[in-house]
Amino acid sequence: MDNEALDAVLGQLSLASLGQFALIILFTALIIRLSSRFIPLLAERVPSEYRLSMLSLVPVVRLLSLLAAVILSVPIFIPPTRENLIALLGASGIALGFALKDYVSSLFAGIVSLYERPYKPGDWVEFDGHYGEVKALGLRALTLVTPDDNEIQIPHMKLWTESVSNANSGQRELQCSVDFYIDPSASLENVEALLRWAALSSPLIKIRRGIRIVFAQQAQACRVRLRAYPLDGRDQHEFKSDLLKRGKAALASEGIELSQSLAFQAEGD
Amino acid sequence: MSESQTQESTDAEEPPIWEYLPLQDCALPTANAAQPLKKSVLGTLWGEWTSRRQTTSEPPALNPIADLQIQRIAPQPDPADKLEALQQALSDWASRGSAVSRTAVLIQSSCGDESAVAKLWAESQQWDCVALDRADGGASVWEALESAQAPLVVTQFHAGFIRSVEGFQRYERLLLAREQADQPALLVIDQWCWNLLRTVLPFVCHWPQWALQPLDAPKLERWLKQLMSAAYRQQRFLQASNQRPLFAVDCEEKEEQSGYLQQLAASSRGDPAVILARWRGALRQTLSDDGSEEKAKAEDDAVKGIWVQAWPNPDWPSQNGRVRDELVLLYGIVQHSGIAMEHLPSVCSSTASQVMSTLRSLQSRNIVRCENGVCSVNPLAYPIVRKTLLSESFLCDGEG
Repeated sequence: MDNEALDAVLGQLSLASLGQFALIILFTALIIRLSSRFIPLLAERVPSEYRLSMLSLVPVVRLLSLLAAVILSVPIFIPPTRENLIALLGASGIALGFALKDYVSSLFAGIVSLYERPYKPGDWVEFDGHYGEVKALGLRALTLVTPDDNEIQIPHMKLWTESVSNANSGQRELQCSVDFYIDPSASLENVEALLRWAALSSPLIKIRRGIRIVFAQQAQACRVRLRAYPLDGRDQHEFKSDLLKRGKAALASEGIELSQSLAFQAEGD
Repeated sequence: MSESQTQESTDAEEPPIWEYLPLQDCALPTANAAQPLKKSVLGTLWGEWTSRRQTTSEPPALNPIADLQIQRIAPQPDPADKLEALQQALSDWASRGSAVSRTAVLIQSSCGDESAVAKLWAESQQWDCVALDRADGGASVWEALESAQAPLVVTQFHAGFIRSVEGFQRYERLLLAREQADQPALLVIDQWCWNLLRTVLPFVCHWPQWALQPLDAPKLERWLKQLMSAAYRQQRFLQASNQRPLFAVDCEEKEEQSGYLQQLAASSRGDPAVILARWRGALRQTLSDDGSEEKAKAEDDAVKGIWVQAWPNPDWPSQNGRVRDELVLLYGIVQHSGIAMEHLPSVCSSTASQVMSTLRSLQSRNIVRCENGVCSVNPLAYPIVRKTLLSESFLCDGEG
């Protein structure tokens, strides 16, 4: 913009227009303050089923107030000519581009995820530090439900930088493992057979997928890892609990001592 | 040629109703020769849709049949009827094969009477016969089994098994002992329990195994006719929904047979006990409690023809949806061919109160019944229970 144009724009500024702008700002701030104060008060007085809906109005009112303030303020400083409009739209476009960079990135990642399918609804995944079942795939983000029944939204753009660990990848069953720490001095002769029978006696086990038992000597104990598949991935936590319960009882029945320094552990919890 | 001679020659041409075949040779009946039993999602949906339509439509007027009549039409079968078939199947093994393979297995369907048949067979062969008792977990028989000094038949072999670490250990020990035994033994075991044992102890797969060949429609027709008292064999049984005869022998000229028996055989997987329960249930549909006058009239009408409720019977128990506690409980019951209530909490990994509430729910829907502290699946509900457990990937009685 050359000097003449700048003078033309700034020449429009007057005390009246500045006052008009100040009024708009004040009025907007007042609306935002009042809505933040009174909508929550009102929400406490309506039936509880509407409380959360009422509270969600606060950010909506704030956004609408700010938008209205911007729409009313811009013509005060910049005359609405064709050239000014084009310049304004260009500047807004650049600003929006920067602001929505991540959003657009998530949209593209969402499209890529539809093709590469690193996760699908029903899969149990560990993504961005969270483990849970994929409940829904949106265009921008996926919804994960953790074992604690928390719902987490993770933007697809994390795909560019984070690894995805998928436990079942479209299958109904997924492998579960439970660790037993046996006292290093305990005899391991029957441990494998006992844990195998313990796993097979679980009503939730998918027998045809097999059972694996792996021993590993550690500093304070001998770790016995029992790996098996539940009938359905949704039952994995109940299945692990059942394996622990049955495994512990089976070992105790044969007098096999467990490490006192390490507790039982179930992977993924 | 006299009529009886003609009948005998006809019977001689027909295959026997009962056949015990090596397990791998047993074939399931299909609903229709041209159209195998529907297993697809669309087929299932179509079945449910037509089932609902029939439930809501008005059935034609049915002639009522009294309970006594049902007993005459479909009495409890005599296990001795199958003895000849079992003798034929086991003849080679009992005479020569047992020298090679000491242990053989007779697989019993979930509601089957193979134990009773095997007991008769043991008597005919003069073999010892022992039955495992559910009450003491078979403890009293274990020693006899492990140290048998004479040929042996063990009936209800599954009755001593509880799916637990101890149960697996005991059966592993016993089956290994049978592998090295000197004396031949025939084990009669439920098909669910056997499928579990041969999956986890694969060495037993090499033992000779026989199972009853499932009934197909032609055999079913002959069997049902054979079961009826002589007076009812002359009756025409008609399907209420399409007014067609159930039995081919009742079809008059150019009259088409109803598909009832094909459907009954296929949906019951040819299992005689399930078929009989369903057949009785269908006959029971025609019962009327309107008063003695109607009953008397019905007895007269029964001479003209007996109308059987249209397929499928809307009163059959249904099991919808995936309720894990119910499935686990049903699995525990079916896998043990009936189980004592006291063992259910440990088998189902659940508390006694949870088990009881689930059990009551299933009982109220007529899916499970409990008698003398032992819970078992109602034969009427067995096909749907099996189908549901199979669809949820539980280890069933076999593939398919």
